Amino acid sequence: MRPVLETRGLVKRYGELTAVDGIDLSIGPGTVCGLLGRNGAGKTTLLRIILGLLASDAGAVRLFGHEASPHDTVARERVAGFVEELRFYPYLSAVRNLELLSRLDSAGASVAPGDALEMVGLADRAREKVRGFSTGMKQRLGIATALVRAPDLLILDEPTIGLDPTSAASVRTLVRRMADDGKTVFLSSHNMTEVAEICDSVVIIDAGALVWQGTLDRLREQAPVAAYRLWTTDDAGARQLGREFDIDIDRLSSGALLVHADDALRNSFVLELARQNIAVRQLEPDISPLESLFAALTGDPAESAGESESQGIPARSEADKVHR
Amino acid sequence: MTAVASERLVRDASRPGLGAAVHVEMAKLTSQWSLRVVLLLCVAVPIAFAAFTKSQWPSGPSDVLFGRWAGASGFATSLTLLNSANFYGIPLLAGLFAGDIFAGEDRHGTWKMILARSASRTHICGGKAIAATVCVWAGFLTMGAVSLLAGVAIAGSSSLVNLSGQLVPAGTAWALVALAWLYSLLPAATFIALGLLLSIASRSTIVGVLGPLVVAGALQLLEVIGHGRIARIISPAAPFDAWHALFTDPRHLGTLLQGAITSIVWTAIFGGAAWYLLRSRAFGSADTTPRLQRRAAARIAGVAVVVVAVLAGVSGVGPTNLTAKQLQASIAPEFGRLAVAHYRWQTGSARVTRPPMKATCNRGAGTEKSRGPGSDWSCTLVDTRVADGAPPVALDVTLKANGCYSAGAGSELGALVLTDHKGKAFINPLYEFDGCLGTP
Repeated sequence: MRPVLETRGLVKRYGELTAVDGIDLSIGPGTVCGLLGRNGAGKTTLLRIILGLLASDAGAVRLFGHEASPHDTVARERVAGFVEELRFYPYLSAVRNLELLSRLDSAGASVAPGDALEMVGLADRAREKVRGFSTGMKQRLGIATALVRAPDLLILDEPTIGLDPTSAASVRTLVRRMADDGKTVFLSSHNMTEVAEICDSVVIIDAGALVWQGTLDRLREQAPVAAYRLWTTDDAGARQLGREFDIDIDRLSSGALLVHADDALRNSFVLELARQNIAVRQLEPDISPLESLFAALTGDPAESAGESESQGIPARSEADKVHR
Repeated sequence: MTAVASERLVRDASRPGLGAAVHVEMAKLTSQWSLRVVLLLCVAVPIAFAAFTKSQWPSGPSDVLFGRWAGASGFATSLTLLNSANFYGIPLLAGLFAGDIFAGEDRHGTWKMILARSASRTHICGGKAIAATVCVWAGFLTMGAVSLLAGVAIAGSSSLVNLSGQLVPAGTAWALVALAWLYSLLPAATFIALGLLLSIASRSTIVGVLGPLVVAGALQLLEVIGHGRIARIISPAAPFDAWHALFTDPRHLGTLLQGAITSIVWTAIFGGAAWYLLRSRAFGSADTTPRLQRRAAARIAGVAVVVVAVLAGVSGVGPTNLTAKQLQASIAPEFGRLAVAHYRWQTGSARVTRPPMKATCNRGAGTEKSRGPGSDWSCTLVDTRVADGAPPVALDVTLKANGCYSAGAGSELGALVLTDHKGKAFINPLYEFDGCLGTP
């Protein structure tokens, strides 16, 4: 099946900095592909090039099998999306913003502005000036501006950032539904849970270069053993038992034990703890397998820890920091 | 059909063209209350101006062409306003409508939204240029129409005294005043294009809005000192004066044509540069940072300084029309015609012929050496008829770089306000009068 989006040897430099470094990627139709990378990895630059806002220094973008040169709006006719912070004309209402933007689209297959606002849950605020909209509302309006084009390829830059949990869930549902309807969605995100929930495939870039591409299932297969935080009534006994089970257990600075074990081994270990009268006070995941793999693929976690945690991607577990 | 060709690229229905871009930009401009206020002012200011000049009669803004007649004839009221509208109104309107039309997208952060649609950058640029032009022209013509109607309603439709001392009947005056306003749309287009260029180049609303005003001010300053024909031809502000040629006898159509060509060339240069900048601009993440905006503003200021320096350098280069001979050839018949008008108004008699006047003008030096703008000109006018007995008249003349002059002998030729044979007051046309040589 012909890829919807392909890039070949894409390069973008800003002076000495190479923001995008020879990226080759391919995304098939009817899928949701997540674009992952630390802050400054080159995600937004890559999306800008695909959307035609920025010219690459080398390489090519192919959309639906056709080469798309920079500024080529014909080749991007079936593409819609947004990058970075969403901004609108503050002196216009939400529906007027959509009406005017859609006037700049080709006629034909399109979604009425009112319907697009309905889809993102903004129908009741349609007549209000955008000036008073919250970040989350602007985010939803941004998705609506993409939807009015009825695109076959939707490109979204962190579409759920700034949204409350309910709105974020509805956006995820919307994205998934579009893919089920045969549309392709390429979205960047810092939220691994979100990626795991809605994406079929993942592209991971680091320092402008592609470091991993494949299906989510393959990513899960390659992911390291999960880690859990454990609080017990007898930590010394638990660590002794861990050695018998050949389980790697570290002590965290918070007092919790960090247990590295797959699901089956962890279940047996917990049952044995109970048999030895060691009560489990609390057991929670420390870092998901995807997060572990992401951290492994994207280099030094300490560098990204502060900013990544706030965005939902812990760069590495607390144990890593303690024991390194 | 090949497999590649059969792949659907463009939807069946039509792509958005220039019309769609114009519609969007017009909708955005007219939705902003501040710009609606500007358009309202284009109605209110001329009415207030007409009322004010009438209330001030017989004294008026005599330092402006037609200003001394502003309270006496609605046509003069409109033309007096046209002087200011050209030099201040057009740059201001161009700044407000065109200067923010690109920079506004940077300010609102909306470039990424509109450039990700189907309309091409060329269409978006064209749409913005046309929308800004329509709004500026609409505002300007509204000022013209309101000033003419309000002027006639308030000051009356008396004949207009033109820049050669002739009385222009109301029917002709309507058409000429309307033509003067319409002609000024050409230099207006130059300043609209300048506003567009500053807007896209600086990405700053302040530079875009104030830039045309500052440039117009600088050019006006150069006009004060520049009398060389080259500067008069290449200055983007020179065409603002070209409409004067409609009110001279004979009408200097060459001046009108020259002004039109200058305006069109500058409009093409500024507009083309704006289009090129938008087309080649990369919308990266750091493209509207304050540092970048400051750098762009500094670059623009540098270019402006160089351009002004070049214009200043050439301002005195080349031959000049501002010579004693030209002044003599213009002021003598004008004085004669005004003397006729003066006699007719005072006596009510039409049976009078224009006195053959001879003028001798200089700036202290001899007639041959006297040239250039200044307020130190003096002319002596003599009625050449044998045995007329009228003494020579000495006039103090201020000759401006744009080829227009004001001359007067003060109370030597009667008071400012005289009474006609029916007892009605009228302005003494010889007390002080304006004329134009016809430049460049």
